[in-house]
Amino acid sequence: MTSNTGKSITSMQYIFIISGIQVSVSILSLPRDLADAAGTDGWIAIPIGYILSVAAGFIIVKVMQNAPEDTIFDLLSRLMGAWAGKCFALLLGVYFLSFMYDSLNRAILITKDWLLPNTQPYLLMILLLVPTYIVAKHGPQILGRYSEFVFFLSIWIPFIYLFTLENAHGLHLLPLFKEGVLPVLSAVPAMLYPSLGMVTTFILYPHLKNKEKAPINLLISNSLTMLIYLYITIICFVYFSPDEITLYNEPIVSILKSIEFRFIERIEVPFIAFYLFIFSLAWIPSAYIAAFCISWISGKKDVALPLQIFCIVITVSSFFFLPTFNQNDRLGLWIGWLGISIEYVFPLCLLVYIILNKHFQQRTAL
Amino acid sequence: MIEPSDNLLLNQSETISSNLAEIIPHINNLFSDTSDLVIRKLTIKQTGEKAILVYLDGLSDKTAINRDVMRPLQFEAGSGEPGDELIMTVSQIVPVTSWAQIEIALLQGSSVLFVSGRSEAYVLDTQGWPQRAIEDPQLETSLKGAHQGFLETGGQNIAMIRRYIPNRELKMKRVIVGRRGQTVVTILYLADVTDPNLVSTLELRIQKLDVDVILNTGELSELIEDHPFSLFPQFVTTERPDTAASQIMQGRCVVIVDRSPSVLVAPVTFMSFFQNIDDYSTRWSIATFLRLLRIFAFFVATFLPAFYIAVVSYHFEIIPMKLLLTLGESRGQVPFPPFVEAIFMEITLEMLREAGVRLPAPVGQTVGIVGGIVIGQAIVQAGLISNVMVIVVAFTAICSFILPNYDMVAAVRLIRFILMILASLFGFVGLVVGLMTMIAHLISLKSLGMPYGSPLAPVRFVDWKDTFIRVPLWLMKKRPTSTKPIQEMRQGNNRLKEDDL
Amino acid sequence: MNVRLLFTLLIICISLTGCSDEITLENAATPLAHGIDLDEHNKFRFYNTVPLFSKTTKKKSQENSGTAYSLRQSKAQQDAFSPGSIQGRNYQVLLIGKRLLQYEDWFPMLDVLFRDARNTVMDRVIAVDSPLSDVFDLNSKDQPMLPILLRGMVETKSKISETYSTTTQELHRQFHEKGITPYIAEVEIVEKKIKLKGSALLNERGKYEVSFGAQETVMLNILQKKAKPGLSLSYRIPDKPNKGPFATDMLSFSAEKIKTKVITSFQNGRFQFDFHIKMTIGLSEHLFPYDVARDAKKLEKQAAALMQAQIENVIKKLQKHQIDPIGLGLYARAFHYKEYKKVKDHWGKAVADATFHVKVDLTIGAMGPVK
Repeated sequence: MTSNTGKSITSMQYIFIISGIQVSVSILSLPRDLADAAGTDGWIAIPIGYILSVAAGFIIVKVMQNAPEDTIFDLLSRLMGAWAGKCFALLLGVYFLSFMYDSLNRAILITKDWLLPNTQPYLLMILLLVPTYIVAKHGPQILGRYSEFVFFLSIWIPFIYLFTLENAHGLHLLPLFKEGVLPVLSAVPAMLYPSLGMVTTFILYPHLKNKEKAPINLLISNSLTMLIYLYITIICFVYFSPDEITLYNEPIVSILKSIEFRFIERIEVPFIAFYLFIFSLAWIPSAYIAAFCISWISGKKDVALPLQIFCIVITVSSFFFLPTFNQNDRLGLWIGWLGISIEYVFPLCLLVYIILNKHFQQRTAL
Repeated sequence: MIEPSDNLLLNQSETISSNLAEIIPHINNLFSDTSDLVIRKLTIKQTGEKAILVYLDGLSDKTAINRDVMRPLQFEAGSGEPGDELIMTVSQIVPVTSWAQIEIALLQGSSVLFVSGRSEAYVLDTQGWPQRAIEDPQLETSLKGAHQGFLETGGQNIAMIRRYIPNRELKMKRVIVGRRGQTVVTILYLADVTDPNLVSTLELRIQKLDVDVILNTGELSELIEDHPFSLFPQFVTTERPDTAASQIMQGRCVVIVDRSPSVLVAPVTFMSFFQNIDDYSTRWSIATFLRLLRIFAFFVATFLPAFYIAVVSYHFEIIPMKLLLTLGESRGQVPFPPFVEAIFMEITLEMLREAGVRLPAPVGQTVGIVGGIVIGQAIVQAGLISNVMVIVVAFTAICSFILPNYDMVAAVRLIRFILMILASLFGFVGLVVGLMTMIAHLISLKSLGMPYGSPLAPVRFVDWKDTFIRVPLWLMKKRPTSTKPIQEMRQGNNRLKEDDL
Repeated sequence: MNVRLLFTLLIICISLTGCSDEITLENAATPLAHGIDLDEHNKFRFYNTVPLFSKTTKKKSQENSGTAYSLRQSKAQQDAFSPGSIQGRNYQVLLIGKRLLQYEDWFPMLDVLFRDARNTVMDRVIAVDSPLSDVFDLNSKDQPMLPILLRGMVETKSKISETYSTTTQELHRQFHEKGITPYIAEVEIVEKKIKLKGSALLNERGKYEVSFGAQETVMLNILQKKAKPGLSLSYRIPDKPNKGPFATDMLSFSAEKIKTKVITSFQNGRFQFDFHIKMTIGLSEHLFPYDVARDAKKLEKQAAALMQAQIENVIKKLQKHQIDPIGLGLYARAFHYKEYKKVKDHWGKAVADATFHVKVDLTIGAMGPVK
């Protein structure tokens, strides 16, 4: 299936693809979601969610080690028959397509809200789909390069946030576990949606240059994601009062409004525009993977055609209808549940199945 | 080697006859209406054979013909045996039998000697066409580097590179391109360094060409580049032998096109367009500073006018209050929207630049005066353009002058206009989407199959030593990995120890 | 190839449609200062001043005002006066009239500043102890432009802790945070000139409570741990003689290093806050002869006692008005969460009940180039 050697992705690219999908859009509301559930203790949920997602990541890699040269679909077809592979390809395709649509939608809503309130959304959709198409049609290798490049391009962003510490109040974080452990645990589900994305491993695994390093890479990328989340969340928590943070939809953008430089006021304006780069780390890989799933079902290798169809359908549909913030939130919730079942539950079941299968086969061989 | 096709050359495979009486009409037939063709009949003293010498006037070195061919043939008496090797003092004598070869040889300036009774003719190396002296390169001047630029003669150019790399691993592949032009294209590379795949890809691409003539390196590069629709140059062309030699040492191929004073370097990366041979002869700290300056200048030259448009027409909230008042006052009297203002000034700038390039130097100064005083000053006083816009345009122009490579500057000019349009339509969002598309395009570009964005995308940290910064030379022990060289190390330890000092 | 064609078509399509958000700088009217107040009939009134980008007019700005229900609702009215369309993106200062501050719960009136993402929230909030119309009419051509003047005034003085440069964003925090009450800068008009008064302290619902002068504001800043080196204090030392009409008992010094320690405890059903302030000071003037080299300790003690008394006075005022601009609620929440939770909805009362201990230690670090 994936015999096109040389089209491989390095460890660093793999790390950044995963982290990119995880961080991109979901970071915007994460501090608020955590504060909603557990007040200023919400940040404690981040490491807990981290442990869960690392575990899920290891399971995914473990599954893929059973088919190092194939995608998950080939593996499924081998194990359970062609229909299983196709079904799962369809499911994964739908999942990533909605993931892509959700993040594109969110990016457009935010751009409209903060920068261009009167611009037609379909224009923005067209604009954003142009680079998407260019990157996604070239496949995993260029995808990896893009994620990597954007990460290095955005390395200055965390430093900008340091300027907000001027008005920070460390006292906001105390006391720890103010309402006990329960609220913290209730904040953990808020961490699940922002951790989604590891399932890309199912598709990218055959392209990896160092397959034996995949678990380490997953660990690194999850840690990177966690560090970013922790950093941003704590910055927001010490800046905003615990009583007011839940009033902001995108606290991590609102916080930037308070930064002033001599040469530029309102740093959040160029920042939101630049943030499109980071958002694109979610929808560009998902666009590729969704296109790959569809082309796999139809037995073709070329992803350009499904991509073109996606782009055209999404553009045309955005001409008539684009979900609002509330609808987008609901879509996000729905994707979150779908994601949990695909990224956490399904790999576990599959791994158990594979192990049992092997076990029985050995027995029958005996 | 591409054989010339039938319709262009008659009787190409026909061999020559040994009878001079048949040969002369044949030549006259072949070169009808060719007034610069000279046919000189003579008798060879050594053997007493009749002979004719044919050459094209002006393409051949007449002194050499007189001194090294006519004189020995007519005055030297050898053993007197017919069929002996003839006494001539030219450096290279090639016996040929087919008319096709003779024709090419004649057209390239060699002279051909037919001897009665022999069924082969002799191509004598007496080429000598009009040639200029070696001069300083025009486009790529250098402060500290050599002051030799390439010439219009391929052989000389090869020689100039060989002077820098006297090594037998410096190999060449010779390809002749063009049905009519018969241009000699030579690929130079270091056999034990350069990836053989690169050489074969390049050779194959050149061999496949079926064109009339290649007059210039630029034509060749357009015909063989990976992405002809891209705005970005995918090969470096240079007119400096030292640059070419340095590129060969880094594991790249250099393509010399005969008759063109610039050579082509492949494969290259985006960052090679920011390097300059002077970087390596100045102190590394200064070279690093200049590198960073160029990269900054690239961004300014690409984005500044678009940024101005975006800020003034969409995002004036980011302007600090005092600047806002100044800017507002200067914009307040301009009757055009910012986009029209910017496009007008940018096009004026492009015109001034183009005028300056084409005009002879004494007239060229007038352009500067007209541009500087009339357009720069009067336009602001007349209230047609805001003075901030003039500053923006001037700064953009200066930044684009810093970039060392002409092709890249040309790309920047076009991209600037695209971004200006995007910025005028969508403000910062348009700008960012433009940048995003540019990056997406850059990272998917390839130069001779090698990633164009390296070492930035894919990230190759080892190559960063010569990208944004130029580390001291003794730290650059390896050749850049972007060319996948066979031999990676290029030098040993050159750092002087304390005791050595 | 067909994809390229499609792209080209799309691009043409986009350029033809264009973008309706474009508003160029010269077509927009960007008020740099705006104000809200009540008129004599207790009707909501807005004020703004818009810079005019024209070389032909002598006056560089235009002042508008009108009666309306709310800020955004008044936009049409504001636009009606202006050659451009009013954009709230460059506000530098927000002036709030004292009349309006007599009422509680006016903060929601500012909602548009937060809800419209394009509005700035970094405008400095200033209370005005004069009719707001007077302030805006003052914007005459022989004074610096009102926004520049006010912004500069607040910015530089808040650096030496004599007032507050509270932004709207910060005000949002102060209103929503239960453990703190709002504080903003205050100006008044004296002889047709704007004069900085100090700071105005509001209660948790935004009603004006009390004003602090420059030196009291400095004290408050010290308690808030906001004071930065450079602030300057003056005291009359009690046992020094006055000669003639001159206050020769004056001592002035500036702070070089300030350290405030707050210890929170909960005893006998009330909160207790212990402030320990350590300052290294540099003398900037003493009008009486004094051998600082030998007797530094004594002078330090005298000044510390005066300062301590002033701080205690400041705290008493706060307790009297049941306000907490120091943000003691934050300490209470951090260290005594359970007790704080019970009283957090009327924190002002809890502060009034609380006991305070203040201790000031001064160290003279420099006496200047003369003895």
